[in-house]
Order: sequence, then C-alpha cells, then structure tokens
Amino acid sequence: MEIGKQPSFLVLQSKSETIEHIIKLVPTQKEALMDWTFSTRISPLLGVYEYGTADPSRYDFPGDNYIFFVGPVHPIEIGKCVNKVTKLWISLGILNVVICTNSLPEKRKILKWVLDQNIQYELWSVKDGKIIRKQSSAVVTNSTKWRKQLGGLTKLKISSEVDEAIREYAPLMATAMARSERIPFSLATDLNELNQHVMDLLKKPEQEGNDKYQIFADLLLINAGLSRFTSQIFSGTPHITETECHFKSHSLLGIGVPTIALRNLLRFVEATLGNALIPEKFAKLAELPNNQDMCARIPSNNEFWYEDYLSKINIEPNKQNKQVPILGYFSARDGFRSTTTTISAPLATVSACNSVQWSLMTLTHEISHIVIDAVLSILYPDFQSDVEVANALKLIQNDTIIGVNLLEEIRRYLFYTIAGIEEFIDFRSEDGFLAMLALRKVEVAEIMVHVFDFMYFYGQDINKYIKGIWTTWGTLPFGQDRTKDYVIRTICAAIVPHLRRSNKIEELARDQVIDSLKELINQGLGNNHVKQALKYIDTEWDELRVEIIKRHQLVRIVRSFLFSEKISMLFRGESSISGGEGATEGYILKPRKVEAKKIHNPLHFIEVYTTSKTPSLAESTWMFYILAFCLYESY
Amino acid sequence: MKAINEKISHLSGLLLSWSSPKTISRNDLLSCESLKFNDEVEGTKWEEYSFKSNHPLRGEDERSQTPPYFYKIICRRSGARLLLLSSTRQIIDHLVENELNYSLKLPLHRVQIAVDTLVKDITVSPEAYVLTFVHARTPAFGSPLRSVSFYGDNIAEASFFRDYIDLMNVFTCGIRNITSNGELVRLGNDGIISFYSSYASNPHQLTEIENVLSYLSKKRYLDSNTNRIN
Repeated sequence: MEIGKQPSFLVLQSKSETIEHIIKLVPTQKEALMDWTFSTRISPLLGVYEYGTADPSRYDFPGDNYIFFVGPVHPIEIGKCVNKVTKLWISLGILNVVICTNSLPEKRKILKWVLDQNIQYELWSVKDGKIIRKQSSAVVTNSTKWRKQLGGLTKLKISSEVDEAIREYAPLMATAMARSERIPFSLATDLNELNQHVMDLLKKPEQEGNDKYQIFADLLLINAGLSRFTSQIFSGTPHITETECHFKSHSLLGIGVPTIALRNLLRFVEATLGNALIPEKFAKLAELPNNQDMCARIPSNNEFWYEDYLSKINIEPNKQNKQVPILGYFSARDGFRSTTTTISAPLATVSACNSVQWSLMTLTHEISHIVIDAVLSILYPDFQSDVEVANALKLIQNDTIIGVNLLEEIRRYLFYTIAGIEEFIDFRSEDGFLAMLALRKVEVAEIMVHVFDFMYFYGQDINKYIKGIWTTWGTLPFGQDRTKDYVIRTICAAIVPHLRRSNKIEELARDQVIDSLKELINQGLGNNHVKQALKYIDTEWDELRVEIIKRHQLVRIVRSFLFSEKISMLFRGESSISGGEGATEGYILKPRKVEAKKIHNPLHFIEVYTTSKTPSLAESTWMFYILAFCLYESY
Repeated sequence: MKAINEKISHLSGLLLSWSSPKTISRNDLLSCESLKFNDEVEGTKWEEYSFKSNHPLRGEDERSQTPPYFYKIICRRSGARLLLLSSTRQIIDHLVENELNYSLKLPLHRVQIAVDTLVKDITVSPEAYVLTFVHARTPAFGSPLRSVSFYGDNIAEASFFRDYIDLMNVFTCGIRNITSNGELVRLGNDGIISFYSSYASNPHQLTEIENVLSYLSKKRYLDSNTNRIN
C-alpha cells in the first residue's frame, strides 16, 4: 500500500445560518483557509495509490456517500475488506483510516468487518456534502476504580496551590481515562499507572510532611503533559464533531498515530533500560575491588580501561519495582524536553520527523539524561548528608588515597576532574568542594550524556552523530549563543574512538569534527551556527584544547564504566533485517510503502530512515505508521 | 513457447505465501500467462515451469538476444506456501512483482525466516543441521565493526563464535545436514533461499531442501504474515 506524496485536506464546518455540518475535501490548506468559518476544522489526509486517492484532490461528496473513520488499525488489515474502487485515505488521527463509498453493500461489508474486529469507528451518512446521520462504536464503561480514586481527590486539603493543581488534574485524568478505555495499545494501563503515581505522590505530605512545592511542581508538569496528550490523541474520536484538537492544522482528527508512535518508542526505551539496569549495575561496582593504581596513573592503552565492567555485574530485573510510564506528547513550546514523568517532542516532528533537522533520534539525548542523572546521583554525595559529604571530601583531600573499591576510585577520579575544570575554587575545603560540584554538575552531565548518546545510540558513527545533533541545534533559537559548549561536547564525544592512543587525541577528534561540520555545509545543512563553530575551532583552538583535556576523564568514565557491548546490543540490536550494509542497514522497508512487515527496534528504524534533508508529511506519516503499527513487541 | 534446455548450477529464489489458508494450485500459477508448466521433477513433488519475459533478467545483451527471454522456474507448492527458484533471484523478483501479483487473486508475501533465532538455537543445542555460513550485523560495536561473516563445516563448534553470538544479529546462514558433507542451503531473513543445484542428476537433493523447510515450519521459524511484496 503506497501512500501519496502530498496530502489533501478534510474540512468540517458549519455555516453561520445553520447548525448542520458540511464536509469536503480540498487539495490545499490555502483553499480551506479561503473559506474558513468560526467552526472550521481540518486535517490532512494522505491518499493511497491502490485506491486512486494518492493525488491531492477536491471532492464535495456529491450525492449519497458513507464516510467511515476507523481505527486504530493497520491499513493493510482493513484494506483486505475494502474494494479498490472505494476511496481510502490514511490520517494521523487515532481513527486513522478514512473510507468513502456510495455503495450500500460495500458500506455494509465494511461495517460488518469493523464490528467483527471490534475496532472503533464513526460512520457518517452524507448527502451532497451535508452530514445527515452519524453512528459510532458503542461506549463501554469499564473500570470504576479510577473514578473512585479521582473522586476522592476532591476531599484532599494540602495547600491552596496544590489543591488548585488537583482540581485541574482530576478532570484531565478522568477525560484521558474515559477516552482511553475505548482504545487498545495499553493506553488505559499507562494512564492507570501514572494516576497511581499521582495518588502516591499526594499521600506523601501526610506520611512524610515534606515539600508541598515539589508536589505542586510535579503536578504542574503532569497536568501540562496530560493536557496536550489528551487533546492530541483523543481528538477525532467519536463523536468527532465534538472533539477538537488544539493543534490547529490537525484540529479535525488529531494526531493519535504520532502519539501512539511516540508512546511505543518510549515503552521500548523503558523496557530496554529496565533490562539494562545501567545505574543499578554501576552502583554495584562498589562490590568490585580496586586492584589497580589510581585511575589517573593508569596508561590509556591498559586493558583496565576496556573491560566490560557492567556485564560482570548480575542483577535480576526487579519486576516489582516497575517505573511509572513516561508520558510522551508533542509541544511547540517545550520542544525536546524530559522530566521525571513526561517527555515532549517538538510539534514540528509531526510533519517533519523524516528529516535530520527534526529527527526523533534527538529523544535519545533525553533518554541518556535519565541514565546519566541517575549515575551522577550515585557518584555525587547527598549535599544534605554530613556523612556523605565528609566521605566524599576525604577522597580528594589526600592525594595518596586510592579508592578501596572501583566505584570509590571512579568517584575520586570524577572529583579530581571537576577540580581541574573549576580551578579557582579551593576544592579541599568543604564549602569549595560543594560549590565546585554544584557549579559544574550541569556541564559534567551534558558531556557524559553526549558521550553516552554517541556510544549507545549512534554506534560511534561520528558523521551520523554530528549530523544528528548539529542539525537539531540549528533549529533552536538560542543555538548560536552556546557555540563553545556545543563544540566542547562534540569534540569530547569524538575522542572516544581514539582513547587507546597516548597523544594527539584532541587533534584527531578536532579534525574529524571539522570534516563532519564541513560536510554538513556541503550538504546544505550547515546554518550559521555550524559556520560559527568552525570559525571558533579555528581561532580559539589553543584555549579549546586545554578545556577539552580538562574534561578528558569524563569521556573515559563513560567509555570504561558505563558502556557495555552486551548492553549496547539491547539498544542497537535488530533481528528483523535482511542485510548488514547499505543505506538502510538491512531493513527492506521502503518509505511511503505501508507494509505488514514488522520490526523489533524502533530506535534503529528511526536512525536508519531519518536521512532526508527535506521535511515531508507523507514520509513522516509513514514512519509514524511503522512505529505505531509494525512493532513485534506490544508494550 | 520455446523449450528451455537450461542447465542450472545454482538456484536462488523466494519462499512465499498468500494471505489465505487456501492451497495455491497449479492452475493459480498458470493464471499468469507468462508461465507454462513443463513437467514434474521425477520422483518428487517439485515442478518445472518456463517463464517468458520481455525483459532480460540475467544480464543478457539486448543487442544480440532479442526478447522474449525464457527462464526455467523450479517450484514447490505446499498449502498456502510456495517456493520459487531460478538461476538468479532477479528472475523470481520480477516474476512475482510484475506478473504473479497481478494474475493471482491474492498478492504473495515473502515468508520471513527467523534466521537469527535459528542460528542461536543451533549454536546452543544443535539438532539435525549445523552451520556452514553465517553473515551477521554486529550492532553492539557500532561503526567500528558493522558486520561479520563466518565460514566452516560446523561454525558453532568454535568457542570464538559461541562467545560472541549474543552480540550478533544474523540475517543469512548456510546449513548442512549433520551427517553429510557440503552445504545444503542458504537461508535469508526475508525468505531468500539458495543452493548449488545437482537435482538433475540427484533429485534427492530437492527432497533434502523440502526436509529443511519442513523442519523450519515445524520449529516455527517461518512467519508468513510478514514481508509483503507489492
């Protein structure tokens, strides 16, 4: 099933003098705008070559028509029961297949199939473009548990701010839960777990008497995410005329398919992280004795640096300790952003995720933050604990002390590295030590995140990595102000393949980065920020080199103690391939061809197929369809 | 249609199925006007057909050889599955994509073979077959090491291979019968099957290929719901 290259637009509106709804298909958004009324809603529809709808077209639904909105369903599945003379399009809404027929037997056949398969639908009988009758799937009311829980929240009295946030949260979650019960993909389970997390969060003040403002902040983040999530995924569900999406270019049918795709991607990552247990294994390095010298005195080509330490640690995944599923949504304002309970992707990715500038691979940076933040919380002392601070301080107050176990030696190595970066603070005093750690925490995390992302998700492919991060930075309005930081992080990541060498490491990494940045310019992907970076490297190299040398050990900590080839296999493995080389690295999927073929690894799929310089709604839609409907594992 | 007196030394093609439990019959195949039934391979359930193509599919020089071109097709039908082989896979690709998928009532899908699982199972607990060839991606290492190939009489016997099998995604393998010499067949993830042919003098070879397919089916290494061909 091959989808067309350009969309048509389905328009729903009422004229001021009547309340009846009119439906029509127009070939351009401009045409819809020319006839816009107070009630107009639109959504792009992509046609299918096999159904003769691939080219953008105008259609006023003359005579008697039956229009089905069906989903979520793989188009190949429903295609089996739809005659090729019937019109069929795909949409980004959760009711993702739109079918129009003027044949009563065909309508009956499709309706029977939809009912037999128990798939959500809405059916409009249309006469000369006017909707004269609507019918839809039966409403099913399932769980009463969440209704009671949310109802109970109204009795809580925590503080005026928190109470107000709860008053917003309860109906938001109720809307999400009620609508999710009609849709598969375990959405209801996800939301139930998030709701349970909120219930636990709200119990804490009574149990622990602690920070109400932290709870307030957490609730605000959840409310913001839930609000967008609900609008984006559940708009365009029955009754379609009453569920408008805030994303105006998709206000008729919403963006349920991209939201499910994002959800599946996040569930894959959570499952993989859950199996990888990187922070948990890293913490267990405290059980390995430090048989070596100080890290700083071990030569760079010593095998000490290249052992797979994490795979030596065996921890059974604790299924009881299941994490709260992270809520994924799209946001123009938040862009790529992660919190403890939410991850957002830019709204632009909905129509442009096929392009390197708006690649969903950027989410791996946010995912890396989750791991590195957890690792740093193991390495850093708890600033509120005198004992932890004193123990940490001891590690760098005496140059002759060696960590008694591997974790302690890594901790010592990290503290000395930070002391080298923050050279104007007396790190041997407690105040200086804590100030130094606090001041450099964000920078340390960012460098470690870049190295982690480069190794685990980009497979140390420097060209792919630089293309990925620098084209994304090019879309940020503040990219140019942070040239120095971005250059340092990039060269730090590029050091990884050269760590066995004893000299000229920084120069080798620099030269590779320069070549890759120049290639971006050659490909027309290098905006001013890339040119500025090249100029900066050229003119400020002596200073830059010193800064990179000071941060060198951060790269080594990630390479040696956080990277494991066995764990990398979890993130990068894909058995649904047919070859090892070539542009698609073994996949035989073709952009815009919706197939029944399934994949195992959504991250690898995104890495391989996000290569275009030009954003395309059709190719982005195809990618979302693969991510939403073609994963072997159901999460 | 011209008779083909083609001696094929290497057979390559696709394992296919259609999305219906209904058996694919000879008449279904003959609904394609470019196909002509020749004969059954003696002593087997395999069939030979001639495929007439207006396009050169084996690198023929169009200046010296004018269309149509004729190719021998070796076929084994079994229920809703179909194995089509010829001297090159391009012939089968063309036959399926440009002929059969238009003439058949239902389109053909490639049958996905779980080669990665098969190789890992053989490595852990070898049964009837052993490995003679393995081609795999090595995603754990990223760009420094992208893929590896192994050749041998019984690859999984080498501890070097066993030690690293968990870091590989295998997409092609060759197997031989544990009790006989020489590679029997090569299998690809996306339904590609190939082998050196001696069936003209040794029809038993086709029975051995059939046994491999039965083994794959019985052990659930075949998935007919994937790799649709449009």
